[in-house]
Amino acid sequence: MANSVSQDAISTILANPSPDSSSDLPDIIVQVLDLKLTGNRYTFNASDGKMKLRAIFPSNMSSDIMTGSVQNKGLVKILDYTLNDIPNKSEKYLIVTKCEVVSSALETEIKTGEPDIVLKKPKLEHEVKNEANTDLAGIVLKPKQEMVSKSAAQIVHEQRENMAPLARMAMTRRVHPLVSLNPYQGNWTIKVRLTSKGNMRTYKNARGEGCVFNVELTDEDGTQIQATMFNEAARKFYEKFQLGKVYYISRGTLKVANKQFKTVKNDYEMTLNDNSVVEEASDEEAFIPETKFNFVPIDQLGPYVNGRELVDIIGVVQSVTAVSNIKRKIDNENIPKRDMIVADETKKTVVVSLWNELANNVGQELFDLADKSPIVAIKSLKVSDFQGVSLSTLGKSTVMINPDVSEAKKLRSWYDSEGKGSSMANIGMGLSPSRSGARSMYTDRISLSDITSNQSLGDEKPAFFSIKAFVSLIRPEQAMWYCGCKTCNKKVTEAIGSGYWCEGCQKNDEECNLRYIMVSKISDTRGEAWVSAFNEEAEKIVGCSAGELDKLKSELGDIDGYQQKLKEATWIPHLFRVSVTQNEYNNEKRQRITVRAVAPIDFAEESRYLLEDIKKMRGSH
Amino acid sequence: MQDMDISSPAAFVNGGLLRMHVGRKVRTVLQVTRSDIGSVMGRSTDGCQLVAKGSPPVPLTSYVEVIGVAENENTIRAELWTNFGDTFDASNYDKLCQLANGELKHLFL
Repeated sequence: MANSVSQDAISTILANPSPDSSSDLPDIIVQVLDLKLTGNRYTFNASDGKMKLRAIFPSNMSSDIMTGSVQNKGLVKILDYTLNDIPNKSEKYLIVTKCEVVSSALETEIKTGEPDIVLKKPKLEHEVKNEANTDLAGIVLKPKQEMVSKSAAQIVHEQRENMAPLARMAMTRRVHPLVSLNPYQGNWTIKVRLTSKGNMRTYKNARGEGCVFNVELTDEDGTQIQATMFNEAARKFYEKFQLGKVYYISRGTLKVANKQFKTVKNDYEMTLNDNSVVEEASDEEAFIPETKFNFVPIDQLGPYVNGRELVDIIGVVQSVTAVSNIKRKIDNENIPKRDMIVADETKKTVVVSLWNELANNVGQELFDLADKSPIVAIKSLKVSDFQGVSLSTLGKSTVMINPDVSEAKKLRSWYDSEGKGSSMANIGMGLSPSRSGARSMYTDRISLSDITSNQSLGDEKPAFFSIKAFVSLIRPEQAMWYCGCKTCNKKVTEAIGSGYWCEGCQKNDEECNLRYIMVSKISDTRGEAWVSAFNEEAEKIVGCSAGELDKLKSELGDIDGYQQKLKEATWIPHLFRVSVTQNEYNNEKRQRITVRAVAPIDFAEESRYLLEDIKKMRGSH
Repeated sequence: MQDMDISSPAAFVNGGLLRMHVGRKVRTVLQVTRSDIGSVMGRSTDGCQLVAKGSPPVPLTSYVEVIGVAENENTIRAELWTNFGDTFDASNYDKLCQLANGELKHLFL
């Protein structure tokens, strides 16, 4: 039993589109790739290691395939077939009418690398003269002669050096501009440069573990799109994708981009899975695009705290710590981290935390250079409220030491002349460290009338604000909670029999957790609004869990404990962090305010805030 | 006991502002430094040592508010005592006193 493909099997097939039983053809053993069900028949790509041909199995073989006698990456001997043209395309299509299984799934796709001497036109001239090669020529004379009957596209393809295994794609390499891609048409190939590569991240959620990374792709027109890969696909493509190189990609899927997490301007984002095809375009030079910075002065970092927008900064390194290891709570993994203090012309300093690879590689460099006060430029930092204001790197952050940009030169001369000696304060100072949650309640503080009077807030991305308000009404008759899965919190349905069924976890549970989904009215000095709150936040508003409130509701007695509890929740002042979005409802756009965090009032902090506000108002007189 | 002048509101004062209201009703918060029978010594929110005469509550917390008549520039004859607990932001209160006696006096008196 053979365990490999027949040499030039595809060429043989192409040369003999309609063999009859008397033709003296060599064995045609091909590898079955990309086997998939289309309608009620199985299609695949027949490969001989050098070339591929689209093919289809007869419907009477579908059951064999389903039972696994014919497997993807397995070998089949084609006994009878017809080669058809695909209308409007230069491709051919193999209709297998009779075949037998030669081998079950092989480890990998067979690739026989270097093109056969015979198929390279230039060398053919030599062959004719050489005696030894005449033998070869003799054996392969048939296909050589029949080269004439091959389509022009095929000949052009065969002349190419370094024939890629993805012969079919090469022949039909109709490259689509990124801007033309949409989720409804899956038959495309794009040619793009990898302009950004994120780090591989591992995650653990209620359903298990996984790994993911994403990249940014840019085509010739300059259109960009983000592509994400999970698990198998992530592992498969992580090494393959290298920054600056150009790739032909096909068989990705598109979906509408999640505006909150968008990093490039595109309505769609792409996912590549195990079936996607990524091939390096060998005819293109790698070009790592110049990093474009958009620096934010340190004293202007305030508005970005806890927001989703990433910032770039440039500054003079004041100090760098040694590497420390932080245990990640979610999965107990140890992550290297290094902190450094950076200062700029605003005479403010900020702490920048370098994580993972950045802590080790460029972090070490910075550590060694620290006393020379180098200039550092960092792209894509997250701004958090730790100790007031602090910056953290992400997978996609890039760090450049003493970059060749004009801002660096300006900083250098400022620092050497006056910066070095001046006293500088940390941007987070002056805002007292307090319990988390309360800290960020002072950024973007507005009043309810500011939100309700501006109906266009949050139409692109959700807008976040802090509010100080009182809960003024919680309607007792509303459906205040839902039954949530104990593992993943998604809504469960009542199972047949007893218990609850979770569609996401695909399992039954005797019990479920009641989780709040509550609407209430809040009021402040200027206005009022209806807001939604989910479990954690609603618990803080009501003062007990949904389960406990449910118990109160079903208790009998003189005093309606349930109504009482809801009444007691009103007219208590809270600090709310809210998001404002636009919802479409019956073709109308409606403003939706969601509570993202609830914090008690810290009166000293609040007084400080009000005094500042008064000062600002007096200043304007 | 002398009748308390209740016809006008008590002016918010700190150590430095007390002298502006001698003979009138004032209120202030003191950080208790010494407590005797008949009087309490405390630090005002701007750091001056003031005396509050009268009968403080028992027990007395670290911070106490006194409302009474200003006898002189460092003594208040307290009528009303309120425990303000052990944590208090003196700087906020001090700023309030400045606002209440300055530009925004008309909102208070």
